Amino acid sequence: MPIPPALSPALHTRDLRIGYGRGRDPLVLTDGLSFALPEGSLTAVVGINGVGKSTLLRTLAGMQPALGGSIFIGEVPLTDMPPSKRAEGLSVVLTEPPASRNLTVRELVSLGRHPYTNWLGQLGETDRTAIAGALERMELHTLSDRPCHTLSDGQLQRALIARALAQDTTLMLLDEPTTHLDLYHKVKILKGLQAIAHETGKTIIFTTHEIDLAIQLCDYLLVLRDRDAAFGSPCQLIEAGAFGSLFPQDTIWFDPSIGRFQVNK
Amino acid sequence: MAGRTTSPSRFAWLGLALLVALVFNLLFGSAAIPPADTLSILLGGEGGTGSWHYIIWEYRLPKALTAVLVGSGLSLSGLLMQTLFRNPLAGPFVLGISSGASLGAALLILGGSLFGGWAAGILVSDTALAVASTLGSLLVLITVLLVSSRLKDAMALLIVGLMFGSITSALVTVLASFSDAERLQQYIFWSYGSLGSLSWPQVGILALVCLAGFGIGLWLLKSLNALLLGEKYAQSMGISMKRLRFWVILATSLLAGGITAFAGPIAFVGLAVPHLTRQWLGSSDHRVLLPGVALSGALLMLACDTVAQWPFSSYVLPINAITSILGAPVVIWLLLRRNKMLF
Repeated sequence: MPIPPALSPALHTRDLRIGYGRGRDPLVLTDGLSFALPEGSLTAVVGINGVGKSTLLRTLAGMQPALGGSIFIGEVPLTDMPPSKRAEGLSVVLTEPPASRNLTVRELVSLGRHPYTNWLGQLGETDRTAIAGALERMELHTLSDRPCHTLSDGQLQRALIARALAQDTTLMLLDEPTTHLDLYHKVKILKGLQAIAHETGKTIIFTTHEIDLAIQLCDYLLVLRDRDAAFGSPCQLIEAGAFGSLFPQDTIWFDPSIGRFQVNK
Repeated sequence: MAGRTTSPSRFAWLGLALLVALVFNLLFGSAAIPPADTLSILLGGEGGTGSWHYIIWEYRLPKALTAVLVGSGLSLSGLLMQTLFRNPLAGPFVLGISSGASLGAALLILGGSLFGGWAAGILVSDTALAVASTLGSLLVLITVLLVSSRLKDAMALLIVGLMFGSITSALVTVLASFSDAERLQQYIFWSYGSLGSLSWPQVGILALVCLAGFGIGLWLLKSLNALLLGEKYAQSMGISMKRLRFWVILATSLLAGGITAFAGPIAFVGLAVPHLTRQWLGSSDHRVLLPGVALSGALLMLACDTVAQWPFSSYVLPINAITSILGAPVVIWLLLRRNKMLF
């Protein structure tokens, strides 16, 4: 796996503190998070349930406020970006399905052009090219006229990723893009994301429970543990023993020689 | 949104049906005026007697225009509410706007006998009724807008609207138990809904209110389409949900509040028409649906009004009953075929 040289980061954080609630007694999930995502890299956020993976993703997307520290998109602090600029800088794929299930795949993907179209949402030549490209890349051209409620989970996930692609941002943030999918489709989605990152230079960060797959396919991992975190390439993290303490070791242990988790039988 | 093309011929059919319904609506009424005379009077000719002239110009035409405004306005506000709450069962009155109007009307009509004195003697004029119900829905509107800026979740707003409805109907019951039969009757007649009681200036005011509502709807088109993905996706594409919610609620309140003030509470049109339009035009795109619901809402309302007139008889059925009788089965049909409720 080629690890891109340390280019200027597409996104970096400084002493980021995430959690819920403001005021006197906030619930802090993770504190002191500092990491940098190089341009064109694929990064997975892993950790046990409730550790704050989705919270981190929402905070990075500007959907919920950070409790402290700062986030930079390129060199610009996220909090200084007006919503319209942010929409041109980062796109999201969320766990919730689209509210309207009657939209066709093409309509869904076209909505990704929202930040660029005029007040009526009319599509121009650039918009049509971007939509066609996104449909093509996610192998959706044969499905483009199907309403969303007729799609399988895997197809819907691809359509949602295509929508984010059509939004044409340097950063893509995905919350658990592989849940509800079988192993083949999980791999397919993750390889698709890897190809997008490496071929188009977009920077992608996603949360996942598939640590084994993430170790094999991602350029970087962010391992969230209770109140601390480790960031690095899979090899660096394995050498540093970052996965060993992720789960209670009497049940699951990490075998660094094969880079996989094993169940204690 | 591109993609699935809505065949323009389906729009043409809607327009044609609307025209036919309009002509039918004008031709039939409790006074049997021959169609030829009706047409010649409408075209500015003399035709028939002076009273026919009066009936057509001062009663049937304003009533038909009111039906058009009421039908399209209620349908648009229903569409706005369904998109805002992403709930197929939302309608123009989920925010409690009609409850507010009812409370205003009830306070004016029924409150008189409660406070006694000079007010108890006279029955209330239509204009006073319109003002009172406008004030009532305005009161609810302001409360809802204040609450909505403090609530994060659109669903909570839906429940607040329901609560308003309960409080209002309870207050109306209390008022009713204190009032005399004559006033109770006037209130009940108001709650039947009526399209035929508007003078030309009142039709003009209603038209202005509807125009404002449609203007806001048109301006929000693009954001409404983004909202089809859900609030979070809409936000991620640069939309301020707080602002969008404010304008949608304002447009709905203008439309539903203004219509209820002049024509009374009219049920089901706002709920059913957006679904029927989505089915007929095969799209969820608001650029198609906005003109679509306006046409089909007007069409449905004209049809209901023609039925309510009970042609060639002097009976006039309450319009609210007709829309419910026609509307409720439609909603049940939509529920039974679950896919039809998708939006």
